[in-house]
Amino acid sequence: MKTIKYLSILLLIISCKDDFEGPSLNDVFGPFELRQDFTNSADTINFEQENSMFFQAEFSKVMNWKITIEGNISGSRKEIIGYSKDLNIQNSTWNGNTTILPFFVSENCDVTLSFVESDTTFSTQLYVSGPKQYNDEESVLITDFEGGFNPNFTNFFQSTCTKSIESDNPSEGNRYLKQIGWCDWDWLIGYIDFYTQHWLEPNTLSPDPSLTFLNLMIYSDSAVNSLNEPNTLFKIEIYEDENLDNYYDSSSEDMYGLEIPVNWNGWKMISLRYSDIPSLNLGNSVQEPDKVFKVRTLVLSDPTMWSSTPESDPQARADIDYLIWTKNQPILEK
Amino acid sequence: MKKNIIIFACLIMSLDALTQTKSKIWFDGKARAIYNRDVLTDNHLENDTVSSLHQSSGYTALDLGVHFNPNDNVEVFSEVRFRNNFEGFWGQDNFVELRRLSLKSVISDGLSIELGDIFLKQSKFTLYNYESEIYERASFVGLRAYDDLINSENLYYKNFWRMHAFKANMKLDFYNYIDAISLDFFTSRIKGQQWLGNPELLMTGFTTNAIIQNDFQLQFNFNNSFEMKSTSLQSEIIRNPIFSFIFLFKKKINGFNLKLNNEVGKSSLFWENSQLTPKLEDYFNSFNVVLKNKFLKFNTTALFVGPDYRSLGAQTKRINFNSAPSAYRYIGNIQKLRPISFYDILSDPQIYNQNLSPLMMDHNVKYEPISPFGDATPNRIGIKNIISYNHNNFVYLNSKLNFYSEIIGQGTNEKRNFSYASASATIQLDKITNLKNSNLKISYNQSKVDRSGNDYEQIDLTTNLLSYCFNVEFFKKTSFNFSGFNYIAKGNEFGTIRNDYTEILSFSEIIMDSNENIYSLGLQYDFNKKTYFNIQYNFTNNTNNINSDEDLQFNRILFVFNIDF
Repeated sequence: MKTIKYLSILLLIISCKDDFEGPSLNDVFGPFELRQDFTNSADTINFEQENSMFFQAEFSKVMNWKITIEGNISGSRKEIIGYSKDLNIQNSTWNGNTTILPFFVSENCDVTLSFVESDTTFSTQLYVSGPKQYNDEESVLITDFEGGFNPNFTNFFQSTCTKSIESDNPSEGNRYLKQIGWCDWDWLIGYIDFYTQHWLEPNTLSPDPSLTFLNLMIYSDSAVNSLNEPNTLFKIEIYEDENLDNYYDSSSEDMYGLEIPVNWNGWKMISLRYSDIPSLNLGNSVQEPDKVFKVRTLVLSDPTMWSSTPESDPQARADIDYLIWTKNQPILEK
Repeated sequence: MKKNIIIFACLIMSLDALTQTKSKIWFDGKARAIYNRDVLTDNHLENDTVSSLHQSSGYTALDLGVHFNPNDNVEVFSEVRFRNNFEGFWGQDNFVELRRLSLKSVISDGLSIELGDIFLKQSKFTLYNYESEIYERASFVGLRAYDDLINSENLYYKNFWRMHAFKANMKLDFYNYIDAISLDFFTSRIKGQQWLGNPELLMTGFTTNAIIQNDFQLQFNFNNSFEMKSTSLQSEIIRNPIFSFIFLFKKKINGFNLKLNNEVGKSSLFWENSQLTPKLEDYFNSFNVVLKNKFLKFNTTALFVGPDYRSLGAQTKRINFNSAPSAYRYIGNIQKLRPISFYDILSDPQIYNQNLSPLMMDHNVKYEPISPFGDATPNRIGIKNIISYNHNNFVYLNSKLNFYSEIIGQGTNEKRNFSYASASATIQLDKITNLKNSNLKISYNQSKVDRSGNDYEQIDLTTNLLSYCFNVEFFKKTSFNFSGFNYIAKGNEFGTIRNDYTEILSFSEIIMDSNENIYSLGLQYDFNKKTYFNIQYNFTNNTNNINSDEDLQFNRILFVFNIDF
């Protein structure tokens, strides 16, 4: 009897140890129930005035969840994912940014809550009265083509290729630049030089290349050549005027750049950290974003891949919109 | 192969020459010839048209132990195995291997050393080779030929681990309050370094034992397993130090021999050079009282083992449940890999493990629901009782009653409760009948695990084992044996999925409803106590009502000629 009492006391003391070992059985095997309805913190949100909103819900167990916000007009989509027992301001905040382009506009949005462990979904709606503005005091806008094509941006396109301002499918605002064509004698489809002095905003970039990001939206129709490879390459070149004489000297000044195979469908945001862009021409070998002279974008295509009737082949295409520099993070993470 | 034979022949010849001069060499060992032929039953073949009807295997083996004493203080021992499998043409499937090699020496009075393949053991919580829980339940009846095979093939000797080690022992005698103090030290290489892989794993241990006036003993054990960082590019290095104190007391009281044994200690398991790995520390305590006389024996143990107690030396299991069985490895029309069954545990030496494991080994809750690591099973508090009675060497009765509980729950605040009850009897029929050297053994034991709580937390598992055997010598040195085992497991439990740091990541629900029956008829001729010829026929029937893919019914005829010399 005494032994049992001693063991019971010992058990009581010891039972004040950790709650239990391992994950909760409820989370692994327990039934799923929605304990608190799925709601928005605001039915209408103006991201120009308010920073963010969030969602709320409570589950009977820890779940892998996903909130999908889809704009009814733009088709923009934002996805927020997490693993928790509830949704709150810490884990489900939305600041108006997007996961899948284009950007949101003023529009109604459908919001869906779905789970990995369950087929059950829950829905709600909200209205974005003012979409998020990405151009703030820390960003430098090169162009958004809303005012058309700036004639001070010098350019060249092959005779079989065109550039044009269109408004049927912009990624941001109402207009974008369409670049399309074929060329079976040269790699170049066309290029545009975005000179710094003609940017929509002056160059106030940080001298620190690790904190500077070049962002631009590129549209692709995922066309492929006869080898089933993307038939379009997009190249970005950044020229630095290190001696600030308003002239780029290829014999002594840096140029950085890279090529991107255009192999997706629809609009895609490309964000490049300045310090990650490789050198294509050596100058002082110091990356100095504050001394950028111009940004050149080129659309390229392998001339040997065209058929005998290239005008009938899927055309090389890389439309662009919203070229903007950001500080500290890529634009979609703002 | 030829080179090995030439080397061995030269060794024997040179040793033989030495023997001619003085008797410095002596031999011992074992020899065995074994053959089994298995056949699937008609019942099984109704649902399995792919597996081969017959399977057979066998071999002859000689484990020759050579003891060489170049002088009175040194002994060199080697055990060489010659094995010839009964497959292929003669000479194509045979081999010679060195099973053990060791050196023993007495340096001076009271100091001795051993080096090589040696058997090591400390306390039950530091370094101990526990028998498998289910094997312990079945071994009361047992099948002797298989028992000898499993122990011999895996170098199991009592509860020692056979390890590559260096050991030193010193004993000092005193004349006053303390009678003697012995000191044991060992260091062992458990696992060598792997190229671009894990580092070398070593174990060191230290035991000091003080005998005080014959009645008291105080013992201190220290055991530390650790990896050598310099042997690998890996930065995480495992450390597993454990220490324990043992207090032993013996006294004769009113015709009973009383023995008290209390072991208390602490273990740590951690990984150096790592911020993200856990540090597991916990305590253990085992208090045992044995009271016995010529007829009666009471054995009670109160046990506490913390949930974070870890010991590489005491928590390595004999059975590797992840290994594949030898007989009918793939069964059914989909040729599924068969899980280890009760029959495999009783008869198959290939599923047993010979090396210490740095990771917590998997166990099968169907066969080991309560103490898969013996007394060293973590997260247990409880009491176990054994009562034995010997009535004039005619009837031996034994009963066990164990009650345990978890200290903390797994996945829930509810805790598992464990209970185990067994009763066994041996009746020496030769005392009451004319049957010579005959006995009847019967044993029944039941394990229960339960846990309350929500539907998805509840556990209700019961396993029952009924085993019995009848032995009778019907002709000079020739005996007949009939043995039977019926193992039933029914209910549900949860298996744990652990990471390399022994933390539980998730659980898997296990539903059981199975019935395994084994019957054996055999004849044995005993040349002497250690040498026998055994022929037996085993009937096995394994039915799984949850997953019929695992059903298996086959019969086996087995011939064993076993010689110990």
